[in-house]
Amino acid sequence: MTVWYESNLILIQSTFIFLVLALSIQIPVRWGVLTFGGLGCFGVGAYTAAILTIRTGLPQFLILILAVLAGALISLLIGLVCARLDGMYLAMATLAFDLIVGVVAINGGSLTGGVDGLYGVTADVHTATLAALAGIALAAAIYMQRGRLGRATTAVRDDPELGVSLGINVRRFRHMAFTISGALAACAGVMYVRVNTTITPDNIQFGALVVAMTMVIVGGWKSSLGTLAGVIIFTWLPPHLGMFQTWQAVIYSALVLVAAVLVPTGAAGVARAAVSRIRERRRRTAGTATVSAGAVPEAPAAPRPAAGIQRPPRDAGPVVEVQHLAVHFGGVKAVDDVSFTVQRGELFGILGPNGSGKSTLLAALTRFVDPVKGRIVFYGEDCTGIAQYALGRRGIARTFQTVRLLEDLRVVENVLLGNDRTGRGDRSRPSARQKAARWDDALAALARVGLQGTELHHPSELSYGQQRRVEIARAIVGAPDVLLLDEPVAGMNREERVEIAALLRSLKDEGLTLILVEHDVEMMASICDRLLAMNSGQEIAHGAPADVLAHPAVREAYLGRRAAIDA
Amino acid sequence: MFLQDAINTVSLASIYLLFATGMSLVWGTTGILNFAHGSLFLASIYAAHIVALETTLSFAGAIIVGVIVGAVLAVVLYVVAFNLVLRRVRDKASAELQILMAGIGFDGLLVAIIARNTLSEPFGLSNTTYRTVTYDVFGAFVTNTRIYVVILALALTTAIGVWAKRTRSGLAMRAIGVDPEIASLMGVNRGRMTLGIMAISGALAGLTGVLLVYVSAAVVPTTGTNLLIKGFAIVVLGGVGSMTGVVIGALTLALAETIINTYTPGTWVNAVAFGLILIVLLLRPQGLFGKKEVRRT
Repeated sequence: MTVWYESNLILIQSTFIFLVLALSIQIPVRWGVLTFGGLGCFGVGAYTAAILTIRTGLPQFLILILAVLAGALISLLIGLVCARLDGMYLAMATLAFDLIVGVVAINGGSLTGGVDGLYGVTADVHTATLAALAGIALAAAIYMQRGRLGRATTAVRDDPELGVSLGINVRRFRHMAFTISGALAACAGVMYVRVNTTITPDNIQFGALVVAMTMVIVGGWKSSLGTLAGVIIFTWLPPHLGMFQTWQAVIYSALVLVAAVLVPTGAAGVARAAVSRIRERRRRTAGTATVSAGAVPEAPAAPRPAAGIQRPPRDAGPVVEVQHLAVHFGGVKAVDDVSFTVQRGELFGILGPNGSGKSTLLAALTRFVDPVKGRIVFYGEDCTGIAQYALGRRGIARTFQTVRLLEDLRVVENVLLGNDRTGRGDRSRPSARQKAARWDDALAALARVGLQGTELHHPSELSYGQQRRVEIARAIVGAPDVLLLDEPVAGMNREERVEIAALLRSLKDEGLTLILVEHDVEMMASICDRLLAMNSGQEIAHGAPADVLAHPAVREAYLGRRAAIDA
Repeated sequence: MFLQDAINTVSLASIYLLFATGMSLVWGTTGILNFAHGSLFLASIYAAHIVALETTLSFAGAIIVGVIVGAVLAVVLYVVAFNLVLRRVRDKASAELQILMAGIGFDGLLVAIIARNTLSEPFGLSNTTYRTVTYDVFGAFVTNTRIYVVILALALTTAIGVWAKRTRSGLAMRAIGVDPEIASLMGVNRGRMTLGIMAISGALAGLTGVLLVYVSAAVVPTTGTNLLIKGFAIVVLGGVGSMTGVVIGALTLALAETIINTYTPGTWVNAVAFGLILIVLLLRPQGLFGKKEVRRT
């Protein structure tokens, strides 16, 4: 053991350093933040540690903390500057940052040692310390991809708009991704300079990034364990392949290319697919109910209200008040001076032909677009200018015109997402009992929309109509006060429409306030308490369904001028 | 002194312009930021370098080698990487990551092969019939190479600009950039058009490579990556999809770099591009000539 340890010391140490560096790439990418700033922060951490070691007598742990802070801070700064960038734009901008770190290092004079870098940064280093740092990083990474955090970060990556509507502060998550990435990369930099006692501008070359990225991509960027596998493979394999040395960069790049094109989920993705296939086969042979046995409550019970929702007093007048709301896109007045109020427990319908501005009105209500004029008041509180995600935490849920489910999560996890941030639970860690209760709530919500037994499927395995009902389950699982639905029966057949109509009606009977946007006149007339009819962004009629449908302007908008005159 | 700076700026801007135009064309029509554009440039130079080891190349001959190699590699890149990703991918977020990774992989592959074969030493064209002639214009020096570079850059970008604005196929290309599906429905052969755009883009990268090696005598394997960042800065500065924007972007970057080179010591030049990216992103994210997108939910 000791002999093995001594002879492989360099490889062991490299494994720990590369693991931390690779995680600094994998974590933000897993969150949908394509930043390459890790390389630059690696340089920042390494140079900070080297300079502090040479010039001050600070204790090593303090230097580590300072260097990590420097990396985290700079990375966060990059994140703030690049806040509006996404995807490839962000990747290029952060790559530019990496290059500038190299330029600064070269031009740093005696402080950074110029082209030659800094040598002789000697300090005691224990492999155990490196192992501990790598272990902490890996444990944190694994923790963050499970449970609530895992669901939230998946939403942040795959559908930020959805995340925001569910009360997830997407922007803060992105800032966190930058901060974590910078801290880990700087930590890797400190570890590197400790082990190698030197840091030069050559160490912060693009090639180093490609090596770390090969580990992440080939190992599987969605999984930290996959990244660990990638790190181990690419640290331990090369020394055992003689000719590999000169071809190393070529082979690494080829692997990245092949992985990106053919196996985008990497080794971890392949392993996961294999495992779920085996499980599926076992489930089929052992009967259906091995996993979900007893999990579904007998009766379609209503989900319990989530604790601690920031909900103002319940009897304070109308639930929703919209005053003189106007939304313009350039010169188009999509919504023009619309006002209405919705009372507690009402099923309020917004009706209009395509392009009448009803979806824009809903988008304004849910803070997806900014109105140029007017006020939106929920429970007497002006919500016209509040943050989008804050709305989701006020007991206001919505569904979208199209199916917005996360394919990487199972059905029940998609529903759980609706309950994750509606409460204050954002900061406090829920206890095991609370977690179990939430799981029960999610199953109850699924049962409520008639989807018992689908919880362990992935969304794409369900029919379109079922997927739309999962969305309703996700919206009601947090026990909202107000539910806004954007064309919930679009694309459904007649039977499905009747079922959804009955479901909405029963939700209303339980006290939920619903605002429904739809152009199925028949359904709207049969289930809504009151209707607002719109055309060309303006209100054309408002009141009881029968009155609204009899209104000449409504008939004209729907049936044409002739029909309106005939009536 | 001022005249010399102006000449340097214009010839540098011409190199940038040729390089960035290729990036902008692909980016504007397919939405792909071709991360391997710098390696197409590098591989073209390397191909000309190999040929020049065996035989004597004329100026035109070197350009032809560079243009063909660039175009062929770009088409190969599209067929084996980008097109496969786009056909297999599930959603837009994964597509971006995969396209980026495929580009990095392809880029790394070419650069690594070249770095291995050249041992990362500078390389250029050893046997060429081309002779540099230096003219003295009112006390400033200008070489015939620089004159060719400027003429080629102006002629080609004007031609591409006119093609995009004035011809049916140019309109088809712009249509793909706005909405690929509608363009297909209107009878645009999207696959062939995209391949054509990739080939033109690669040819421009190859041309830039050969011209640059005639201007600066030699390049190193990392030249491509640095140029890629600059190309990105230029396109971002001008606004994606705008030819005028690319011209202004190239001039701005070249001017800023010339000033830094002339009036400051050290090697801060490579930091200029990043500084420009930062400023543009902070003040005008859609670029100087880009249009602000109006988006509906």
